[in-house]
Amino acid sequence: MSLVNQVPNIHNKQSLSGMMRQVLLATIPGVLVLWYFFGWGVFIQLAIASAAAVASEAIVLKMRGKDWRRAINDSSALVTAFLFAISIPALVPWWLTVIGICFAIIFVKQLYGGLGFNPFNPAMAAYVLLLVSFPVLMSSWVPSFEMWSQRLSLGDSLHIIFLGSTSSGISYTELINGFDGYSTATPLDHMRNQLRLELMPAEIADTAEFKLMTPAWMWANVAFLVGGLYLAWRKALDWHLPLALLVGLAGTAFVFNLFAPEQYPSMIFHLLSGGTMFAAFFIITDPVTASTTPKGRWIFGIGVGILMWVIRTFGSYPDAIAFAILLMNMAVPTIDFYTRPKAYGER
Amino acid sequence: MFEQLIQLLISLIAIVAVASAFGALLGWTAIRFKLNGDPIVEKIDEILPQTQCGQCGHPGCRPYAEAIAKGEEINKCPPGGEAGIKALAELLGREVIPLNAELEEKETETVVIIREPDCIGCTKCIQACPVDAIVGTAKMMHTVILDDCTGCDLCIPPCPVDCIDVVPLETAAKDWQVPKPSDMIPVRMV
Amino acid sequence: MNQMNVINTTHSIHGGLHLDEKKAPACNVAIQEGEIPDVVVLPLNMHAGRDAVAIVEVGENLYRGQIIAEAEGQISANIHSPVNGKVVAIEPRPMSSRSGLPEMAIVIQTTDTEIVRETPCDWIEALTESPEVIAQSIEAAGIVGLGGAGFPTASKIAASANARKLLINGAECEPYICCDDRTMRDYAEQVIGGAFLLAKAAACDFIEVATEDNKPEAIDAIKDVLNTLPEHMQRRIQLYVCPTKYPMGGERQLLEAITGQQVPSNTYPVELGYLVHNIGTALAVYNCMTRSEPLLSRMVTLTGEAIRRPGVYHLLLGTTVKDAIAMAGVDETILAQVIHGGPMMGYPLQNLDAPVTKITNCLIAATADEIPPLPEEQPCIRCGQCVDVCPATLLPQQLYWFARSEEFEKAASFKIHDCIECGLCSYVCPSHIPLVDYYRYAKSEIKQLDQARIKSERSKVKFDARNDRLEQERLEKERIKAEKAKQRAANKAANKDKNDAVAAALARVKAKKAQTQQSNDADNTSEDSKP
Repeated sequence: MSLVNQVPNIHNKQSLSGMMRQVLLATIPGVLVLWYFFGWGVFIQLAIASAAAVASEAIVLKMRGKDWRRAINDSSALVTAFLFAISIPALVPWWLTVIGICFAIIFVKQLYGGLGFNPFNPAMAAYVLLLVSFPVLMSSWVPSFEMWSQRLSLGDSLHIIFLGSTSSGISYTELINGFDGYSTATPLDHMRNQLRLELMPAEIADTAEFKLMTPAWMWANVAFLVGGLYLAWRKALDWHLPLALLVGLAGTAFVFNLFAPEQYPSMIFHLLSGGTMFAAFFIITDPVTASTTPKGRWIFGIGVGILMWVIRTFGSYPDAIAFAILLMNMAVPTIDFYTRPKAYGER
Repeated sequence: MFEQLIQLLISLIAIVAVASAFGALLGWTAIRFKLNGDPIVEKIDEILPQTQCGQCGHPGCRPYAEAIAKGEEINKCPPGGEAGIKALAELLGREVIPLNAELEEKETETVVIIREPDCIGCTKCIQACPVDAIVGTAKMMHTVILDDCTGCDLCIPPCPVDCIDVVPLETAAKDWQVPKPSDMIPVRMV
Repeated sequence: MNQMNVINTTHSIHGGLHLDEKKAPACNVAIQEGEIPDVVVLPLNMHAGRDAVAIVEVGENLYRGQIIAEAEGQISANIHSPVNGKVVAIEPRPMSSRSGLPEMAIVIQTTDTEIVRETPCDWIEALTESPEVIAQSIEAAGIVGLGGAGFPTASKIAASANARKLLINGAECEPYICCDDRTMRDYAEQVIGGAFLLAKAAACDFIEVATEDNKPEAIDAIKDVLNTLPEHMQRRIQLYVCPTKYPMGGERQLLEAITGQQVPSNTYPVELGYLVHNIGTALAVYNCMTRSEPLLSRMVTLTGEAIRRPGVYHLLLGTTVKDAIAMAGVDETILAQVIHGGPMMGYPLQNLDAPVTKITNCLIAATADEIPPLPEEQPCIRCGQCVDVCPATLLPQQLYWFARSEEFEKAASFKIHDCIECGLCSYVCPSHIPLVDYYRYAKSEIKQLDQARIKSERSKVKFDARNDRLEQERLEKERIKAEKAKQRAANKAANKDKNDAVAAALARVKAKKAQTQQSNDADNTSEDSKP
C-alpha cells in the first residue's frame, strides 16, 4: 500500500526550525552585553563559527547521501555554532574557532548519526578539545573595557583574529601581557588563585581589582538569564533542566558557604559568574543530550550543578561547565533506565 | 643490586600469585555454575518457524537447530526469512548474513489447496506432509486443513496427478498490517 | 423533588492538553433528521468482535427494523435494516475503515422514503421490566457502544457483573465532535431514561453522568431532568463536571478525574467497580425499550469548512458518506478530504461510497487549508514534549525508538499496549514524527508475531505428534515381526519335538535294523564254521 493515514490530522504548529530560531533569538541580549563589555570579538567569532558550521555540516551530509539542503534548514548547526562561539574567549585566532566548530559538527554530531543521535553535547566537547590542546590561548580572556580603559576597534579585532596582531603590529600576547599588571583572568579564575593564597572570599570580593572585573560577567549572566526566561515562557525549553542546574549549583555553594565561609565563595557569586546562566538556559537544555524522563532530568540537572561547583572549587580548570555537562552526558542512559515512569495503574 | 633482584623477585611472585588466584576462581566458577544439557538448542528451535519443510537440508526444524548449535550457518531457512536470521544472529552472537543464495524466500505466505475433482485418493501427499495437515485415506477424498498448513510445499512433488495448488494466504481486513511510517510516502486521496 | 447539585471533579489527569475546540458552528444547531437515502450499505462488521452472519438473500423484501444478520459467537452484534427496501446485493464493498479494504456488506435499495417511528412509551414503565428482559432486548437490538469502539453492549454488561456503578460518559473532548453535547441538550430525558434502563440491566446501584465544563447548556439540560425525578431515583444518580482537557473523554482518564484512581494496566474499569457507557448508547437503549426499536440510526456530527450546513444529524446506519455530506450541503469544489472521526483520532477516507456505520461519530469535510498535509518527518531531538502530554504516563519517545528499530519485545515491556492512541504525542512533536502510526505499526507487528508463534507451536506439536505416530507404527511393526519370529521359533521348537520323536523312532529302527543285520551276519559266520 502506498497510502498512509497520519494520525492525528492536526498539529500544534511547532517545528524544529522554529524552536532553533527561538534559541538564536534568545541569545541576542547576552551577545549584546558581551559586545558592550568585551568588544567586537564576539560578533566575529559568531560569524566564523556559523559559516564553518553550516559549511561542514553541508559537506558531511552530502557525503552521507542525505538531503543537505533540507537538513541545513533546521538551523541546528547554527545553534551549535552560536553556543560554541559564545563560550570561547573573544579574540582567539580564527583557525582555533574553525577547528573547534568543525570538530563539533563533524565528529561529535554527524559521525554519531546526525541530529538527534549524538550522546555528547557538540559545543562542549569541542570546547574541551580546544582547552586541552591549546590551554594558553583558551585561557586568554579579553578584559572588559572597564579594566582595560580602552576599546579595540572593529578593524583591530579583525586583525587580531585573522592575522594574530593589531594593525599597528602588536601581537595578541603582547597586548594582553602589556596590560598594567591586571590579569586577564575571569572573576572565577581570580577568586581561585586568591583563595589559594589563603585569602577569604569576602576579602577578595572587596578588592578594587575584583570590583572592576566582575560587573561585565555579572551583566552577561543577567542578560542570558533574561534570554532564558524568554525561552521558558515560549516553551522552547524544558524549564526543569535550568532549575535543576541552578538548584544543584546554588544549593551546594550555599551549604558549603554556610559552614565554611572563609573557604568557599557565596551562592550569588557562583550564580552570577562564569557561564552559569548561559549553561543553565542554553547548554544544558540541549534536548538531544539531556536525560529524557521527567525524574531523570532533575537528576541530570542537579548532577551538572553539583559537578560544576566541585570542579570549580577543587579542579584545575576555573570554569567547569563543559566537563560537568560531558560527565553527566555519559550518565544519561543509566539515569534514563532507572527513572522510567511507573505504568498506568501501578500506583 | 642484590636488593633490586629481591624486589624483582617479590613483584614477580606477587603477580603470579594474584594471577593464579584469579585463574583458580574462574576455573571453580566454570565448574560450579556449569550448565546442564544444551538449552541453546531449545532457544534456536523457538526462533525457527516450525514449517518442517526441509529446505535447510535437515529433516525438520529441530535437527537444523541442533546443527546450528554445532556451528552450521544460520542462513538456510527461507520461511524464517531475514527476521529469523537476525534473531538467530542476536541469540548466538554471530554475524547477520543474507539468505543462502541457492534458497529463495517467498514473497507472501502460502498454503496449499487440493483440487478435489482431480484427486485420486492415493495418500502420497498425506504421507509427505510433515505436520499431518492433510486428512483423507486410501480411495477417499483428501483435504488440506488450512489452519495447520505451514506452506512447506513437500506435498507437491509426490502427487501423481498434480492436483495441489499453491495459493497466497489472504489477510482478512481485520488482520490488515499497519505499514511502518518510515516506509511510507504520505498521500491523501478523496 | 429536590434541586440536584453538580459535583466538580477535583482530581487531575496526567498529561493532556487544551486543544482548539472548533465545535462551533456545528454545536449551535439543534439535531436535524437526516434524509432517507436511496441506497443503504450495511457491513457485516460494524462492531468489535466477530462478523455477523447474513440471514437474508438477494432479492428479499425487508421492512424497517427487520433483522438481516445475526450475531455469531460471544462477542458480536445483530444487524437490522434501517429502511423498508429490497436486498440488491451481498458482496464486498469499500469500507469506512482505516485501510479502506472492501468487506462483506448487505446492500439495500430503499423502496419507501417515509419512515414512521413508534411513539415511545414512558420509560418509567419500561423500567418495570426485569433486568434479564432488558439485557436480552439490548442484545436483540444489536446495540453496541456508540462512543467509537463499538463493543457490543450486551456482552459488556455480561462481562461487568461485578460493577456496581454505571458511568455515562458525556465528556466529548475531541475538537469538532459535538454529538453527545447536542444529544444531552435535545434529548436529555431520553438519555437519563436510557441510563436507568442500563443500570437496571447491569444491576448497578448508582449512576454517574460526567461531562466537561465547556458544555454549560448540556449540563443545564441534564440538571433540569434530574430535578424532575422522584427522590428515590435522585438518590441514585449524580452529575459530574470535569475541566475541559483532551483526552478527558477517554474512559480511563475520566475515571481518574472522578475517582482519583487509575484503572490498572491490562484491566478494565470493572476493576474499579465501574461500567462505562456512552451518551449515544444510553439513547439507543431508551429507544430499544420504549419504542421496541433496534439500533437503526445514530447521531453524526457533519462539519468542516466545506460543509454549508454543519451540525449534528440523525443519520440512518448504512448511509454512504457521499450522501451524508450532501445532506449537509458539501461544497465539492473546495473539499480536499473527508475525515472519519475527529481530527485527533480519526483518519481520512479513501472512498466516499463507504457507509456510515455504528462507530461513525463524526465526518469532517475539510478544505485543503483547514487540515493541511503534515510536513515530513525529521529526526527526533529527544525534547520530551511527548512525555509531558501523554495521558497514559508512557514514554512515547522510547516507544518510538523501539518501534523504529523493530524491538517489539522492549516496546511491549514499556507498556505499548496501554497506549490509547489519543494522538497528543504526535500533535506536539516539533519534528512532526507520526508517533501514533509507529505505535500502531508496533502493535500490529506484535499481534502478528504472537499469532505466528502460536502457529509455529502448533506446527511443532503436530510435527512431533506425527513423528511419534510414525515411531509407534515402526515399533508396532517390529513388535509384530518379533512376535512372528518368536512364533516361528516356537513352532520350530514344537516341530522339533515331533521331529525329535520321529528322528528317535527312526534311529531306533535303524539301530534295530543294524542289530538284526549284525546277528544275521553272526549266524552266517557261525554256520560257516561247521564241518
